Amino acid sequence: MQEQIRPRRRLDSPPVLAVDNLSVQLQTRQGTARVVDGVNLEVWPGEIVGVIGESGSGKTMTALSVLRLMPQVARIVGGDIRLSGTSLPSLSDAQMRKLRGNRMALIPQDPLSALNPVQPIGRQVGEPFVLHRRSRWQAALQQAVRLLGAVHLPLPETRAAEYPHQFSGGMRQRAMTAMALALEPDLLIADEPTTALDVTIQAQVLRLLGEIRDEHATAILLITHDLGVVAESCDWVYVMYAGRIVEEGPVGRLFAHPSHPYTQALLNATPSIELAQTELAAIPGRIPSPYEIGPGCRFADRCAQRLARCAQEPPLLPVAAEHLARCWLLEESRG
Amino acid sequence: MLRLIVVRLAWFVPTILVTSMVLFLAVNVIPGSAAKAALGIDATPQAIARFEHELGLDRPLYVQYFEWLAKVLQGDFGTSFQNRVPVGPEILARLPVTLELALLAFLIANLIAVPLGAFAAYHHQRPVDTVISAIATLFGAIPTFWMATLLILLLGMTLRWLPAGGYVPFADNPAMNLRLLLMPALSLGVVSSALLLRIMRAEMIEVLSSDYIRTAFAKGANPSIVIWKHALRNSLIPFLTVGAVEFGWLFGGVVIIEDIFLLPGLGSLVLVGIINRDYPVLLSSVLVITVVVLTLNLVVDLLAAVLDPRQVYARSEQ
Repeated sequence: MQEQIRPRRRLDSPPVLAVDNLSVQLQTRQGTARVVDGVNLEVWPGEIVGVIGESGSGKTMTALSVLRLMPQVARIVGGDIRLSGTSLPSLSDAQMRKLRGNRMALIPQDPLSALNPVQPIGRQVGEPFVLHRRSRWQAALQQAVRLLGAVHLPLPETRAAEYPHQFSGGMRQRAMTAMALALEPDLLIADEPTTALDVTIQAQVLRLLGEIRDEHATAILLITHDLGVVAESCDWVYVMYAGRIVEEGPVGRLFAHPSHPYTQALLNATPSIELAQTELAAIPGRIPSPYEIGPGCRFADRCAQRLARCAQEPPLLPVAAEHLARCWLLEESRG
Repeated sequence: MLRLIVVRLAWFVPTILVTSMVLFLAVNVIPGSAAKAALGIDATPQAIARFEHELGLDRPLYVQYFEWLAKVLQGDFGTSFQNRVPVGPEILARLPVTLELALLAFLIANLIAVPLGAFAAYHHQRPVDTVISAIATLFGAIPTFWMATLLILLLGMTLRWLPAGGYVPFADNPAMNLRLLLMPALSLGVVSSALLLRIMRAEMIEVLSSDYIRTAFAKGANPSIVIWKHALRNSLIPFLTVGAVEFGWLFGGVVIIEDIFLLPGLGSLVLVGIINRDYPVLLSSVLVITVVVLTLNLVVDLLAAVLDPRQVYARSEQ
């Protein structure tokens, strides 16, 4: 069998985003919690990479760390983040500001609360031109109208003068996407961009992300808890659990041969048309609190196939070429 | 927007009517009598009866009220019991003094509250926030008259930077007018900045934690653009409402402050009215103050509607 090689990886240039052994800690009254623990991930040009996991898995914290927009209590305590080879954690705040909205941009989860309620849409969409290109507002507004048209918003000229509350959910997410796209960033970070939208609108937004990738070879990091979204739009997927990456690989391969019990459980918990008649298997138990993580496999408490050696955490083990899973079962089966 | 103005103006009439009734009752309920105040405690019962009969004070209260109201509506504020001078022109002459003082004090309060409140909010839970909040609490705990005394001692007597009292109309000598009003305005403004600062800080903290602020940072905006262009307008909408209430409070505080600084404003007229039980003076000046405060509330409501596109939208939908 021909093993699939990550098709957009290139040898002559670094990935757009390389997260290298990243650890992020929260410092709160309850103590110290390592919410992102030794995470490695890459996004190559023209690739849509999914990071999937339930709430508390550390996926959003990973994404916000890239932009350095984490909450104040969070701190990067180890590892590196490189944007096209430039190490970000060592940059000053002013240098980070030059990159944000310019070479990397965010599409947030809830487009209503992410838009300023007292500013017209056009002004918000055009602002990156003023911030980074020193455009005059008039020119920036023209750019905003162009961008709103590019994300298929009807009547962009009229709509640019309206306020967020006059927009529907799908239109707001289009506006947010237009804003993120404004300066054609190398990296788009979409944090659950479809969660707040209904299903038909979700499909439109995902299609839009695909278009952007195809037209500009933009690298897109898509954070989601929805396997359907990953299956529909991603090339590559990382599964996160309790701050760790537990499985990674090309989407088709990973969905066909899920190799970590957590990924298997996630797939079993997802409704599909074929399985509509059978009962969905909820995953028993809950994600461990980041304040009380032991040395063993973090999924062990909820795992039906746990072994004695799960008291020690496994490394990421190869399932197939470029398909890795953090589970001892892979060694057991190989005998 | 036009609808909003019309509706608010229509509410004006009943509000003022009710206020005038409450005022009239309150003034007549307070102990002491106009006759005794005017004629002295040694006045004979006959003299008191004659005085009250001449001024119509022996008639039922509601008759007096409606008579007074009818006259006020015609622009006649009556004549002072004390010196038989028409009250209307007196109020007209004093209103600008009080208005200028209150506006100046309000300006000072906001100049302290808005930037410091925003600054504290941005540095939420850091030492500078604690210091600013503590100062605000201190300011809020100081009574205005004591603040006035302190300022007179410090700026007036010790440093001799500012005159300790008196008044010159703005038209005669603008510089001197402002020098004279600065201390009274500071006494009121600093004290009233305390509440405004805390409101500003609380609103700003809430706004700064919202998603659209993260969006602004994600676009690469620096903190000052985020605060002044993205957060301030959102924080001002609820802040304004409190500001209007605070302005009403300022107008109340004016009474004592004008007396301390020898300002010929409405506040000192109210004080004279109370001491002399001079009902026409007292009633009319308080009524005028009420109208001013209500007008300001109206302006603030309209301003909030201008600042918040959602409000105009919601109201035009109705």
